Amino acid sequence: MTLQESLRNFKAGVLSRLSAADVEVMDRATEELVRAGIAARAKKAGDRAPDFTLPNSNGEPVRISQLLARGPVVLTFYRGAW
Amino acid sequence: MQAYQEILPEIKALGASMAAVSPQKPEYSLSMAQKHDLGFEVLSDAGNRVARQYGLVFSLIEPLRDVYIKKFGVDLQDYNGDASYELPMPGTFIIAPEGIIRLAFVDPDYTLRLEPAEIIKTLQEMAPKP
Repeated sequence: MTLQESLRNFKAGVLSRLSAADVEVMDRATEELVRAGIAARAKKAGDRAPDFTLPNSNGEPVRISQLLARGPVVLTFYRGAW
Repeated sequence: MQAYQEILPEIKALGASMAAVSPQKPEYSLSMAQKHDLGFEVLSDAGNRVARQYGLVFSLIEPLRDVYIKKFGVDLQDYNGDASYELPMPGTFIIAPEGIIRLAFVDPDYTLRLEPAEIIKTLQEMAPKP
């Protein structure tokens, strides 16, 4: 199973627990984001990656350029663990 | 996260590292890191400061805030430590050592993510040729 397939299954499970009205709200929210074209504002291939320092789960600062000094970095943004 | 965790040995074997960024408070990042026994950095981006630099931030529309709280039991004010209801679009960037983004995958549909196989393929292409 690809990641996409498992996410699709996960989404179906979440939606099955919601009312039709709630599903509509969620779909509308996603549609609005797509229509607003917000993905086009994001950094793209070929852009310089902004450097930053953020605390890790132990509160220690991690600087992205220091990770890059050791090799490529896979940087992933997510909403939360919930 | 777990799907990316599974390919972490391959990512490391290709000389790369991985970092995950979210607006949630460090205590929640820690519990996730422990829960999934993650072998990569889980970073706390208070106020979505870095996500904003990457052009990923949006504000959750009001009706959806209710759905999150009442149906999912997710109190974003508590998780993120502010009342902005701002979230990052899920996005994954593969950054070359010189700081240039080699691959960007961003989609407002939260159920779409970069396939782990695509990450490995890109890192293989970036690896120095013998």
